[in-house]
Amino acid sequence: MKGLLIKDYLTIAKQKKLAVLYVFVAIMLSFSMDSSFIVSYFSLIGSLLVLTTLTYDSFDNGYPFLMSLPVTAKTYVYAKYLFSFLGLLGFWGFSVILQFASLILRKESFEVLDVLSMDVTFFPMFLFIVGLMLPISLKFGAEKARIILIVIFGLVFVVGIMGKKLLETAVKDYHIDFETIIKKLDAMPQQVVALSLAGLGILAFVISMKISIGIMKKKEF
Amino acid sequence: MIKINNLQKNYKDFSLDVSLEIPAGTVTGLIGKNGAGKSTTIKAILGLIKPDGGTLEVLGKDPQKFTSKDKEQLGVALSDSGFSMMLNLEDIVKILKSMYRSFDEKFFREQCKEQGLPFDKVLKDFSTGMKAKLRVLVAISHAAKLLILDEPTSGLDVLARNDILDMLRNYLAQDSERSILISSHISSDLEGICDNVYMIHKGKIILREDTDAILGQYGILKVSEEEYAKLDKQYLKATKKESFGYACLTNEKQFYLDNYPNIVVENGNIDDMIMILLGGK
Repeated sequence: MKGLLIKDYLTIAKQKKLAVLYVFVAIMLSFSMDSSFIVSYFSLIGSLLVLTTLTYDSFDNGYPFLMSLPVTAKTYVYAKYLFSFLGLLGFWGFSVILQFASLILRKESFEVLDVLSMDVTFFPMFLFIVGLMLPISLKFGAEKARIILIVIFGLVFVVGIMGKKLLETAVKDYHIDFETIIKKLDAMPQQVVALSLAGLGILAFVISMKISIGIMKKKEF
Repeated sequence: MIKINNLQKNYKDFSLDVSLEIPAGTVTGLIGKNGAGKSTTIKAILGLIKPDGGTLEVLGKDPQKFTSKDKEQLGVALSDSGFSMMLNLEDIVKILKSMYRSFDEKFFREQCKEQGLPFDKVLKDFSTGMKAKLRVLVAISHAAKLLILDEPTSGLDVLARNDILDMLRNYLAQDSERSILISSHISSDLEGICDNVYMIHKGKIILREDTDAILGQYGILKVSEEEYAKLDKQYLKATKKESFGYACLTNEKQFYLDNYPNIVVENGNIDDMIMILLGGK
């Protein structure tokens, strides 16, 4: 497993020039935009980078050789998820530090806990996206996975619109008081919301890992 | 080391049905045309594909149940698959060091230098020969018990091919229990290193023979139509129609040399054998 983690790290490290560009853009943006933007931006970059390791694994028909090394389907998936988790955590953590630096430099007043609880919601969000992409990429290949992701987001959008309409009918016909529910949710402490989201993100990630193990075990190279 | 009994794998337009055995301490060649089933057999041995039937035992275990530890006993070089082209040799050393407990870094570095493989270039910039040498070096640098090499010399010039065969000979010399399964369509490579050869055609093994027997006892009879008519055919393995008459493959060259002093008998080699076996009747 250690060998796989090193392989993925070296693969990402080869993209140093890109990373410098990302950081530069992030620093520029952090002074012109809302400070939480930098966290979502970096988490997105982190997600994309960890996912590129899958593309590199499959480049030049790399899988048959990779799976001939002392690696089983399970260890491959464990290593990929651990790497993705740590990678994402690293990018997210770095961005949080940058965010505070930018807030201090901009001399804005802020509540540490408020900023942090907002940041904490980004982490599970991107964990969820990576957790969604990994099994799809393993099953269909990284290229097709991108198209599938776009289709999924399209579907989510359509379902969202339909859901909204359904809710409106529900409010009208069954007199369900959504406003009160939303108000109650709003009244929940932000920290509780953030932590529940983090828990949900991690749970989804673990479920995704189990699915990926199943996919890899069935796969032929 | 390897025992395969009626290994079957079915694809839309190809079916594999292979039996073979590789005892410890032997070098076995798997020879056949492109698409004959060499790579499919090797992939099944490595557990990369799931057989549809038959039994398969590699180092005493079903490859589908291989653990990481089991895989450390194997040294693998595949013709069309390897490390990411973005990596350089330093990166590969780091990866191998943490993959194989018995990775011999000193040996690997020395061999890379000896073979002229640069440490500062990414693999993408390696020549075909360099890439092939690296694939074999990766396979032999962790004291594997069994090497599985798929077309390790394909596309190389004579010098590079010899370098690779020398590396394999050195690997074998270190432990008499070590075995190699090597697939190739370049028969002279196999003649130089293999103890025995399996010939595979359209997914089936059509011949298994010791290399010494091929070179010593096999022969090609080149006969006219009339000579062919008179020929005792009991020791003929295959016959192929030629412009001059017939080319016949025999595994009893001496019998024909003794009894038919007037006919042309050429010494056997794997290439001629393939030509007659695959093109014959």
